[in-house]
Amino acid sequence: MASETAKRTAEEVEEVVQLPQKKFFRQRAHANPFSDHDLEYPASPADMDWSPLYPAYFPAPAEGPQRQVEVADIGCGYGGLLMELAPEFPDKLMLGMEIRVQVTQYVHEKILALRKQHKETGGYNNIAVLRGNAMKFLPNFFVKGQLSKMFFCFPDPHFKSRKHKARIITSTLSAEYAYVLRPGGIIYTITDVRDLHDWMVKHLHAHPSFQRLTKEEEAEDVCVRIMSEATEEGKKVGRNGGEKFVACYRRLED
Amino acid sequence: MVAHPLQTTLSHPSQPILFAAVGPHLRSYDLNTGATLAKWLAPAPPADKKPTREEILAGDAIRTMVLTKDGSKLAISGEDKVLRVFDASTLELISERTVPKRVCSLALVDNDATILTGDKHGDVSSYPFTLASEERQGAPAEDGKPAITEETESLAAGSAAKKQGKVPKGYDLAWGQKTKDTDAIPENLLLGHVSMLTTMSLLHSNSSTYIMTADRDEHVRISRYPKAHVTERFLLGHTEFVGSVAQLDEDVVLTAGGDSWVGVWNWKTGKLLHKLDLADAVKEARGEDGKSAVSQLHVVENRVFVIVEKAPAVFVVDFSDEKVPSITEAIALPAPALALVTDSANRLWASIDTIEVPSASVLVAFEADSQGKYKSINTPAFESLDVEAGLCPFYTTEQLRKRRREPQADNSEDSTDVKLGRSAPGQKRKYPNGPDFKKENQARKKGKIAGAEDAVITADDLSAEGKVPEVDTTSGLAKEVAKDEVESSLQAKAEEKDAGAVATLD
Repeated sequence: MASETAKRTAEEVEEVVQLPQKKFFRQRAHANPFSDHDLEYPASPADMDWSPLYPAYFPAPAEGPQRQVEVADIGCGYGGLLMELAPEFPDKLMLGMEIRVQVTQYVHEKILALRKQHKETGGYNNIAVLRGNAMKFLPNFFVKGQLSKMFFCFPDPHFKSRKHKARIITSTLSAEYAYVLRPGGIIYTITDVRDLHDWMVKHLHAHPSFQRLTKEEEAEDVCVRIMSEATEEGKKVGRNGGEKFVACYRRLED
Repeated sequence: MVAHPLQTTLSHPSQPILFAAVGPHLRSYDLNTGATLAKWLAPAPPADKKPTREEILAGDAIRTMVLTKDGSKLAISGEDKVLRVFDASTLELISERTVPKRVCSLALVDNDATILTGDKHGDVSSYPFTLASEERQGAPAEDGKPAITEETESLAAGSAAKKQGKVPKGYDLAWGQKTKDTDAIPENLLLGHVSMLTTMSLLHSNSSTYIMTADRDEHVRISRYPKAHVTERFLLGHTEFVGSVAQLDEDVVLTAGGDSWVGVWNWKTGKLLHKLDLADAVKEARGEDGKSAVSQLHVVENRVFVIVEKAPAVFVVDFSDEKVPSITEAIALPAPALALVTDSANRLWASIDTIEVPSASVLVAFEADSQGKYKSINTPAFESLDVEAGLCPFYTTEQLRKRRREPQADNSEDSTDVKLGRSAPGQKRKYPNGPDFKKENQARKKGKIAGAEDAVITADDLSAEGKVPEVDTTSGLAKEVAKDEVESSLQAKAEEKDAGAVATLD
């Protein structure tokens, strides 16, 4: 945070933009994805109003066509990945989906604060966070083939056998991810739990529309590097000296 | 005596025969004479086996039936999680096998070679319709045990033994040998929803087959068959659970459920063409206002017959013209109908809820006259079963409705508040560990700022006073106790209601 406050220019001194502090937004890591949670979601993608999330892009600006969300971070947590990806792909709209209320609030307030800080460059206008259940309601937000990238960073491992069905990547859910992802789109997964990594590989492999990226392709993709280092979980694993397992899958034509 | 209603009915394609599920009984009736042609009932479970609470409540009712194209074989499934195939003319049992979850819908594909099950967990699985053991003549097996496949055998035997507490988890009867890897992806799993399936049916287009599934989360999904991992289209637009889906023609499907309208879609583009509103017609038929879920959509060529819970009528919608479809007729019924079916002679049969109106007969029939209006016709008397012998709770679709918090009806500048799941705009969000929480709380308790009743009595305060932290009903932390009381009262209520529709993952 020190580096970010150092970016403040003289003009912004009177308007002190304070970034939210994580300690006030801590929440239990687990949430039941099958519960109804009083979630808000649109009846269909056409009913979704994106303007509160991306005020710079909705309604469509004077020049250029209407942009759509292209990148989704499923279970974005405290938003580390989104913050790193935003300057990397300034033209792509990215959405973080998180089921926990307070964590979503933290990310939302941080994004607003970052946008204020970077007013002249117009940075961080292309990221937003939404409280939602990606397991259930992804098709409500995105039309068929809308996304080009999906990130699953350090998802909840759900260690117990009876909880395995709550894992975010399963063979049945892969069909929904294949629906919202366009052909050529990529699913990025990373975890420090070997069992979960094997599970995700098995289940994505079981879906004929997904093909695993080779090690060379992974090395070439900048998103893989960012994903490994940018998230809070990723940094924690690095500090503890844990191993990170990466698996990326390309969505083929049907 | 009060006749037990027929909760599910199915008509023979070419003969005037009706297959009906009367609670756990399977019956076939001659529609012209009213005679009972054949009957079947599942054998009672062994007396020493104590029935589970679910078994008592569900009563093993038969929920779904499907007939082969030629009408020679009938497959049923119900609350007992067994998939059974019968000879349609004699109702003799050909095969039975256990399925892992309760089935809500059945469908036959591949020229009746494969049967698809849509279950309450949200999965669609496929099974071979004829088992290899059926090639052998006669009863399924010599010792009377049902013909079951290897996999279901280990599941059934293993789970039975586990229930008796004889075998530790993860091991089969042989001890020391782990049962099949529970994490294995079943080969016959075609697709799955993350919500319970309410219905499944087939969609035929050109020479391709598609599976249409609907769930409690307002989704209607159309997947290819046999490549069911490919989701062709989602039909999104319903705001309540979707209970029935039906194909009208090559491009158009109809969906209905908890919403007060029937959706007419071009499924190839996913566009909602019309919302056919039923609210007024239902209100007139019911005589009162109120939410009513659509029980069934029954398509016969260009006409769609709709039955709605609690409304004693069949609504006829005509799609022959190009103009916007509307309800052309509301056929009056003595009581709300549970199921609709059209027989080989084009007569419309409605199964009546005789519990509501005990004087009504279990089946009423209608025929279209020259103008297309439906007139009631005489029906023979059908043998009925007394409710006193045991009433199977009905699958009332109304229970699929989610209990939602009523949306706050005030204007907010920041609509992201609502999207982010915050409390109502204007209400200050209480962060348990938020900034100044402690100071605020102390101030509240001392009465310095408003909202003394919102003050959270923390354990520190009580220990400071020397008391053991006890449950305080004014504090939000103490909802546990209140919750227990509410839960036990809800449980008592649930026991009276139909437990078959409670959306718990089995």
